[in-house]
Amino acid sequence: MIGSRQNSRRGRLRFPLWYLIVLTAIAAVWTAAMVARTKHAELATRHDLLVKVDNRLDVADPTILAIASRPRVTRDFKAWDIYVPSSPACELRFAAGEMSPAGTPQDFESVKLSPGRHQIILNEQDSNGRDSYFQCYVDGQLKLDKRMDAEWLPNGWRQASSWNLPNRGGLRRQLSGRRYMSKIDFGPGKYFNGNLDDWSTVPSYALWIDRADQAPEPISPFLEFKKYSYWHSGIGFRDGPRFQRGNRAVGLDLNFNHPATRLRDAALRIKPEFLAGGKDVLSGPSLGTTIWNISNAADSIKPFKSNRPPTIKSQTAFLHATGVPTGAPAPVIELRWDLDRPNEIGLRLAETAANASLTRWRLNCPDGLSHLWRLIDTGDASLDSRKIAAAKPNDLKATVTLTKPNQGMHTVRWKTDVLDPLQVYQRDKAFKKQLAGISLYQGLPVEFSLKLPETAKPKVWAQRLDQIPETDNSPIPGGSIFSDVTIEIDAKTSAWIWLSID
Amino acid sequence: MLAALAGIAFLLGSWQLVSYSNLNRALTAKIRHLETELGVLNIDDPSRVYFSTIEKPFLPDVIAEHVERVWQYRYYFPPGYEFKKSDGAGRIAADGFYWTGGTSTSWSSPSEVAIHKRMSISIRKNDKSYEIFIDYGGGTQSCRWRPKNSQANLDDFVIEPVLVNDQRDCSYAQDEIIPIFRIYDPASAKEKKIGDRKITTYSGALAVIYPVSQEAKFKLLRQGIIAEQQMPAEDKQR
Repeated sequence: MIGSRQNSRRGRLRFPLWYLIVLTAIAAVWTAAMVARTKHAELATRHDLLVKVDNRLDVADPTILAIASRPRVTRDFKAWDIYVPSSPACELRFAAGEMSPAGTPQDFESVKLSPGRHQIILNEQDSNGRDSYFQCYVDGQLKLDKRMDAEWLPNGWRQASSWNLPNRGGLRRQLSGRRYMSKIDFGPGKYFNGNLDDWSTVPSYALWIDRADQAPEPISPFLEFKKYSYWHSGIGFRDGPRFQRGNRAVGLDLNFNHPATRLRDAALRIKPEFLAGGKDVLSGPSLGTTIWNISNAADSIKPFKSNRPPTIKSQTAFLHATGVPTGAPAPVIELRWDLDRPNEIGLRLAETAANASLTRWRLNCPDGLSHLWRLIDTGDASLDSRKIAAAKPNDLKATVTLTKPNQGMHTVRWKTDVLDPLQVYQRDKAFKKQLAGISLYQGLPVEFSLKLPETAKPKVWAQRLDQIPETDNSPIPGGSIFSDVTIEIDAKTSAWIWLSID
Repeated sequence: MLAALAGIAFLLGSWQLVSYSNLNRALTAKIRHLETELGVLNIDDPSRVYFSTIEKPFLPDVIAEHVERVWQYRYYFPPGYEFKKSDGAGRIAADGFYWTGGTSTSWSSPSEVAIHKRMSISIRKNDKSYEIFIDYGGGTQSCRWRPKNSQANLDDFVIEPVLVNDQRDCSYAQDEIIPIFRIYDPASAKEKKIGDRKITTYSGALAVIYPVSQEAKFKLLRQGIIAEQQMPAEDKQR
């Protein structure tokens, strides 16, 4: 038995020599393959790193346009390696001039790009205060050469920022683009710091690749905007006055801005008061939670949605007071922008049941101290806060007598007497101390005006201020101001009030 | 049956080996090609900063016509390296960081991952001044230097980019101040006395990278209040 078991064990261990050779060969070939695979992973990592270090053009899919920006060698040259697929036909496009970032430039120069690899170089000579020109080279050949005339940026630019064309899907890819905030000369040492508006038409350039058959989309003169936060959102003209929920938009304040002020915050704040039987029906501390909702209709608070064709000539929006105290009316204000009135916003109480109980409507503009308002003009008559202070020192309320209407409309204008931007004035050492911490309006000089329908039986008055509030009777540098300008009209009129910010 | 399985295993292994060998050959050729252009950057200590010279700078003819000199480097910044870039023209010393005149400084938040990029430095002449432009493969800095001697040309000046002469690579510890570019006119030497020390200053321009942790020290070095930073030779050049 024992001998037979030993024989069987010996039998199991026995195998031909070629088995061993074959197994060794298989093990060897797989070991070598695994080593090669490990080495491949290392090489691929090293290769990827090198490609990344140099931002090399990587054509992963020959049917897709590929772009790699090349190292910047000097400040004003930019270079790209691109791969153009065989279909669709592509072209390189360049535009410079007054443009809005909201759409594709309407006027551009272009050059066809054949399928395959190309090198594109842009010479961006936008030197501050000199003649500007842009040159575009494709594979070393000058293909586009755009010289800008002196009016483009007559005093050079103060701020430039890059921007991208809106990409509405498809092949469009922007290579480079800048928007410039032109410099305004207020004289030696009087510089102005402003903000470049994100939507308006300003001196700009763009270089991009597009389908050869892609026509530029028309750009609407109207816009809804939102940036940073809910409070920096609103609606209005792209290049004209806009309603904006500004930083100070607490309660039912109406904030208005104009990109020409170069100010992100509102330029004009209006505190509306709604009267029924001579009583303000919507005031009090609880209004801090009340906000204006923008909608398309007088009887719906559904958020405003634009479905306008770019060719429309006017636009309306409705502001619904939401969150008003229980039992109080929730007024609806209608706003209107009309291309025939590019610098104005129309306002009226909407013809809706929500406004039925209102009899008078008051628009109080309370930021006279910030703007240093001193001059009010009604066409034939004018008021100067300093002259009134000298003539009637104890009478702080000045009634503004409206003169004969023109085509059924009275006009009232008001502004400061300071010609320079108030931030320049604020930096002046002589005034800086005297201003005692007054927060001055930081935009470009501006005049406000309201056209008031005669049928609305308007009344206008202004409140005078001689000293800086919360100080030890410190006089306002430069003299008395109008702290508030208030307009009151009939709530039942359907005629428009036109507000302009010039 | 066993023989067939063995044959399949052998053939599969051979196919894998041949495939990977071919791929590796192609990749090695690509890497060689890229390293010929970009140079080799050996990172022995991933916590240090490294620079290596790119022998064949990216310089298309269209751009070459507009620049006087160009230097390009590969660089490696370790993860979390927090630094500021500063440049400007004025009076500088031949070594160290004594520096008067207007400067511009920029900071960006440190990267969580290591940065491998290409750096490009160029000089171009603009009327009577020189524009020194540095691209870090993204962020750029530039300054203008107007030498007193408007007749002089670049050969009359001392120019020291981050790697000078035949130096191919170098490394710095993270807490060192790195002179990225220095140009000065040796004919403009003036003696300046700061405390007990005498410093020879020149009209020129300087661009540096300094760690945020060394900002106070860099300020004192700039003012010449403390002695110039002496870097151990082995740290400055490998």
